[in-house]
Amino acid sequence: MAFFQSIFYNVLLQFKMSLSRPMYRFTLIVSPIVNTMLIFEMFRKSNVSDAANYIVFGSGLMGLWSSITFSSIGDISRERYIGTLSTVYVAPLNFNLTIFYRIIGNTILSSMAFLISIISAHLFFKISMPIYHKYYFIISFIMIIVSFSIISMPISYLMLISRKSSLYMNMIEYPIFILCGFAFPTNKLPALIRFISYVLTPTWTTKLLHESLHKNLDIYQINHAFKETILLNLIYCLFILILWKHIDSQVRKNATLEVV
Amino acid sequence: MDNTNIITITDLTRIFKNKTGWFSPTEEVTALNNVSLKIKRGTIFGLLGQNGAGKSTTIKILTTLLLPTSGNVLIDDLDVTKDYKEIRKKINFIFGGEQGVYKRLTPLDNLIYFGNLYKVNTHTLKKRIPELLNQVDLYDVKDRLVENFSKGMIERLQIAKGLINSPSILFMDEPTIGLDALSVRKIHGLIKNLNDHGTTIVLTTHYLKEVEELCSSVAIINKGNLVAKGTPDEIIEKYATKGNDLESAYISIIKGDS
Repeated sequence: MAFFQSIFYNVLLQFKMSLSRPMYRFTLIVSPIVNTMLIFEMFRKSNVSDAANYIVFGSGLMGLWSSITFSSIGDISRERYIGTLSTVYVAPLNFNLTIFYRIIGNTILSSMAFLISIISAHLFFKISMPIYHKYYFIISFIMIIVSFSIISMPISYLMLISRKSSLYMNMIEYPIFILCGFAFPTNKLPALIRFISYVLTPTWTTKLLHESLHKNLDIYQINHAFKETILLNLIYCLFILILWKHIDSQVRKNATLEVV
Repeated sequence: MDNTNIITITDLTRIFKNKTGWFSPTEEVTALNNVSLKIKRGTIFGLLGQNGAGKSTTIKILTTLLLPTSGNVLIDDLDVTKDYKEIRKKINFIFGGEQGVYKRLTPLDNLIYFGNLYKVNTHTLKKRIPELLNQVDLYDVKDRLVENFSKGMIERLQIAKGLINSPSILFMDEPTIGLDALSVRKIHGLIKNLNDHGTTIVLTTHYLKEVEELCSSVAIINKGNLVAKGTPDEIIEKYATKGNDLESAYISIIKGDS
């Protein structure tokens, strides 16, 4: 019971803290609308068969990535500057749990970005996406949320050991949009950098989502994307465990929790 | 009063390795050099020193934020290097200034959040938060955003935050920095009251009058070295040259050591 209460209060306060920031509100509400427009313009004269999927869900995925990962990671940087990171870090509640609760809070809120991009595509461009296989779609969506949450944990840890975290945070936002195929298919990328896409879970969850939207499902492709997502998530979890032990001692050795 | 030591520091050294660029050599800065100290349970202990003397580094090691480079630090017989998780349940800390609280939340939300971080159960929190807010005179503004508070109000909220887990030791790093006289008086009253209820307080400050008023024992650190320790009276008697106060003793110690 105490465990669930702790989750409830942490998530609730994460809502309040996130929504109180103008930049977060912009990322959550305005960004998906602008991104929908930009992706629509990108595909207006293209011959990509599933362009509508990219217009409707591309901006949703971009909003989701920005809100979940960017905000959860951004919290570390912000807390360092407002002087609360040290308290959060040394408090008896496991720091991993604190990060996890924040990701849950941001995840719930960021689903709104997804919804806003669907609504804006419909309102501005009269594009609607029929969902033929709702269970596949729901599973894909859950996999996206879980994968984005998992990938944001090790990045948050890395932000702990460097005071330049806000710089890195800005550096990783747009490359992920491109590398993971949020706005256009990854086969448009140069072959030389495609291997980076293959080791990032968002690439496979995006593929899973797109496959689940086809009227005629390609079960082989769905299985492949699903297995890759699970495998990469397991590897990331293992990496998180190993990384945490190292980060925990490095943070106390190098005094990186505060601004100098 | 229990006369045992709650904090024992033996030969504590902390060296920072600074690198200014990728290709520049690593520069070593000794923030603390073989410092040994004992702090008695239930006292208010003052740690004095110039800017960059090593006070905050000492506090950060004691609060498990930093690892010592060498030496041994025991808090209630627990080692800060190995038993840091146990230590964190028994202590809390406040860093002076306007940082350390969420300004876009209310005091109530801040205390609920920090209470959860310190694993205080909801039933206890419901009772403790109004008590703490009353104690620091913030109950009437519990639903106002902290960003609208004065420095003094933020500092009092920090004290409430520092007491959320009823710690045995409260570390306060310059708690009255930049406050007006009335706010300082209020904070001093709170510190004395806490100590009367058995909390050991370790305080760093630049205000020598504050130390004279509050602390039963004092240590002075200069350039990472412990240069004097004792009760304020002992230090005045031994080192004061011009006036019969701590300021005179302090200046003579720092000048004599440079």
